[in-house]
Amino acid sequence: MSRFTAETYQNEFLPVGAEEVNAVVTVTADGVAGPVRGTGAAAEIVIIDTSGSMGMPGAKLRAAMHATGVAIDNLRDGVAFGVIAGTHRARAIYPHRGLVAASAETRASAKAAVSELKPGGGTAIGKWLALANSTFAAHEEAICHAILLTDGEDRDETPRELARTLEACKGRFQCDCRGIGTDWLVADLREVASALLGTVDIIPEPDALAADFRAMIEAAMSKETGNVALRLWTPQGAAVAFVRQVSPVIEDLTARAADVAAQTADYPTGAWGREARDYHIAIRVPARAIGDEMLAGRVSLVVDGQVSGQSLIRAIWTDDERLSTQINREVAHYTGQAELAEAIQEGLEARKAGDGDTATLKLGRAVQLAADGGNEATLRLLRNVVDVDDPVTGTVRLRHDVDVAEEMALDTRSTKTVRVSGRRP
Amino acid sequence: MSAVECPQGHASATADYCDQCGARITGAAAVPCPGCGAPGGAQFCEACGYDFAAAQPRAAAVWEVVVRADPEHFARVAAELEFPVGAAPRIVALDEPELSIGRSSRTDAPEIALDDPAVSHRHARLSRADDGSYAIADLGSTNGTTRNDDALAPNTLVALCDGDRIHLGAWTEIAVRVVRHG
Repeated sequence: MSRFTAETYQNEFLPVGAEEVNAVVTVTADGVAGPVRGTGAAAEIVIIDTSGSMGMPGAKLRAAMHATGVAIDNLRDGVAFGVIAGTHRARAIYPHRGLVAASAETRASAKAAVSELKPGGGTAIGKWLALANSTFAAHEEAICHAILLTDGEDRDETPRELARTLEACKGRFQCDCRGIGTDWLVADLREVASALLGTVDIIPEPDALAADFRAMIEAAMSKETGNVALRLWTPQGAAVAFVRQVSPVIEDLTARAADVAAQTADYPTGAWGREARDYHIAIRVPARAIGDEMLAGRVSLVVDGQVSGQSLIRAIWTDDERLSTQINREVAHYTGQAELAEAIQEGLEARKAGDGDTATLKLGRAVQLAADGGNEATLRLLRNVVDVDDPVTGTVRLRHDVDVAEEMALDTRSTKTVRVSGRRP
Repeated sequence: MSAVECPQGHASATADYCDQCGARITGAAAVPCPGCGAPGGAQFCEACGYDFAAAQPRAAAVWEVVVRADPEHFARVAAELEFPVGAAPRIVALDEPELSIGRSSRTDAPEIALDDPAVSHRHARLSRADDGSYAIADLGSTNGTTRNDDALAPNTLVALCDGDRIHLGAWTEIAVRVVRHG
């Protein structure tokens, strides 16, 4: 079980009349000592798309089968696992019912079953997730995790059906999503990954799939504590403007608040290994008199009803501008990172809609923010879409020869943030 | 946990800030000497010289702290770290109404910056009372703070006296000195 600590970064001094308190809270589980093999019970399901398009070219399905084998090989002994093949319906290909404990024998049988897969059929991601959900139901005590790989649009069900399934799966298991090739929709997979507290990424080339699957399994196996919630208390008369995970990726948690008491709500954060994450929290409070100090928020982490780690978000009203005008570095940095993700997504959308002016403006702003925030990887991806004349002013020109895979990579990775440089080892 | 009354009159289960309105709760427990917290009674506080009758310290006092790496504290903590041999003690004058104590980083510049890995970035705060004396509050630090070997409750102001020894982190000692003139 992880031990949590929380630290607040903010300028608690507010000018007279100010009503919004901003803070970045860093939550650390167990001192971040690098990856370790977890000890808690775990359950893992690999869901691979075997629709007809996975056979065009055949390298896609072959790579998916190979990567699934690599994932299975990297499971810890004893972890309950299974493989689902997805088309317009879902089929448990190994085992045929429930999950089995990983061993040399079951791994070999699973890989044999995977090697029999043939492409054919449509795509209904919700059906795959529903089967995973009902299979995980017998493993409630375990940290449940799935990997979902697809290559196409979610055509064979309505968005409503998918949304309903996601609602049923929320909080039951986490799911990392990968799109192979360029015929899938970033928005589809982002919706799934976001609802199921997972990551989303593009694998343009089949060759890169195995390494990515290994990394996802290693990350899943390193989780030690499942179903961790961030608990936020706010004073009477206050309103939570937003609660946003800002590192390692941006994920808005505001709408996921589950009230536990009149002034206290829990926000789901999924399973934790030894890691640190940052949250940007904004709270609106009624302004008070100069010199008054109030607690605007009390942040803690909750596991199975047990509270651990605590950090305070304060507000002190002052007429001293030297105090109130200082912008906390963490808050400023992550405000920029959130704007960066938004600028990229809006810029790409405008570009697709043929609105070159808006696209140039938004992507130019994104270049400016990425350069300013130290997002080297994002800046590299942006350069695939725009020619940069001046990163400082954000002067860019849209490129005409844009590789679809590179554009999708920019879109999927737009929410990946960097931390304030030089803050922590 | 017993309820504490906040300045607005709410009964709060938390002792640092009211769990209803968020107001800061100060002076929940009666402190006999406002200067240092020692039992009062006579005209002057026996511990720090606070003048009860005049309700102010007897003479202008200069408050300072001596920050050093304390090998005894380090031995008690038994952290798997290397003791900083040869680090010179330094004297920090308490000349601000508030001084934060914390581990220095490029982001945070606490007035009393400590190069001790077991100290939180925002670890504790010294604040000056109206009478010129100082009090300390642990800001809910990860590894806590002790005053004369007693652990401080987080986010609770504790008045300081000449000779108090604050310990925090893996080896840091902050000794309080009150120098009187006249």
